[in-house]
Amino acid sequence: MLMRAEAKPALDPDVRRLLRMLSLGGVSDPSTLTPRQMRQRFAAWAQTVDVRNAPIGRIENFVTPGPAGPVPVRLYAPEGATGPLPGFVYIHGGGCIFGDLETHDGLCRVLSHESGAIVLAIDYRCAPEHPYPAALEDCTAVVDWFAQHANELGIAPDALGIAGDSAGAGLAVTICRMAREGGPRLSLQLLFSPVLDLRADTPSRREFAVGYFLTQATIDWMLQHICATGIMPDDARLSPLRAGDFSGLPPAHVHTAAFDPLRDEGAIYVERLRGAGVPVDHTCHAGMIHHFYGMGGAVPNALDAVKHAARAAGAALRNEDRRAA
Amino acid sequence: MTAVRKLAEKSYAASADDLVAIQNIVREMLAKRDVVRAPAVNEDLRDAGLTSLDMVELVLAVESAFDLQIPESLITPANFQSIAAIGTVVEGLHR
Repeated sequence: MLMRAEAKPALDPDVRRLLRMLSLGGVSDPSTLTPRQMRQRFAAWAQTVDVRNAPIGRIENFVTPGPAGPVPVRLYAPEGATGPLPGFVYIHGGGCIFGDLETHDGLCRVLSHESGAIVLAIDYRCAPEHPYPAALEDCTAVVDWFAQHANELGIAPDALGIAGDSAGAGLAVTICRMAREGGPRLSLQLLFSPVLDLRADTPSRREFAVGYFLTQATIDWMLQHICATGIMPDDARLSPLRAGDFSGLPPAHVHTAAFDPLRDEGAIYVERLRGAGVPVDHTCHAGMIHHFYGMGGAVPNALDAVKHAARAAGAALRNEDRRAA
Repeated sequence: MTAVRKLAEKSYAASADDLVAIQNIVREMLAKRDVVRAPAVNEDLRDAGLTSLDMVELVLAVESAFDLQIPESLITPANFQSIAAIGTVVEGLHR
């Protein structure tokens, strides 16, 4: 594991240090972990490596209506912002099993502050206690609510984007696909290292299967818990790359990482979107690993990458707003 | 005088204060997992219950507590096997 990391001089030096620190505990075997244990570990990881107390104008916690009861959400508003702003719904990663508002608090603060947009992060129901598609249903309900209440939240209705990372980015893509059939108008999909094909057999999945933070063993663990209740991994809601039609989707900003097993499925999605005539900005971040966007406290270049991505996404939504006006 | 201090004065490169500081970091990390035992200075930290993610937290906490950056070449399993081993690394970097 260590040797492979060392043989890749293009890894960001701070990422390489983190991977070395991870390797101190030996090769970890997630197969025996319960979802609760994985949640605790991911929460501890986020506390350790993510940016803390990043500047933000205002934070509000409340609930929005959901199909199985209220869905907790957290709203981030940039400092000193006035007038209709762009808005993002944010769907956190974690395989639809772990992750929450706290684990992605740093990222959402930076996204709001740097983009100048309102960000609404969703604490959706996770598997296996709430089998898929509970997560999808909660997120869809919050996106609908956000669009319907744009005016009162100070958001320009034509500058509404959807954002997410990892499995949350996969949910975002599925919601974009569903929204084509009479759903809210979404003007941008902002995706960090999206999970787009649970059965992907790409070179990056093989090359970075061990030793680059997100391991194939962890992916297998997630599959086992997600699919325990009968949903198939090639269901297009879970694996949107297995769907046929990519036309009519919102413009996309896709951020992949050079040393991420999910790198290639992100790139394939970019190709499919372009083939369908959807405008796409794609950045494959050199030297980065999966979840780099959540390591801003320990990896300065990752924080810079997120800031840059947020500014570009905010600018894209503002341009969209002008065009609509 | 604590057992750690007595031990340090007898046999370790690290100062007693450094060892106590490192032991406190480890104790706080374990306390978060409801383990209320302070590992012995020579105990293997993985045997004491620290996971891969914990080791990241530990290295970063040591760097923060001692205001130093541990060079990548020193981030090895041997150097982070025990509180005493970490103490030796910290002592070496402080000199």
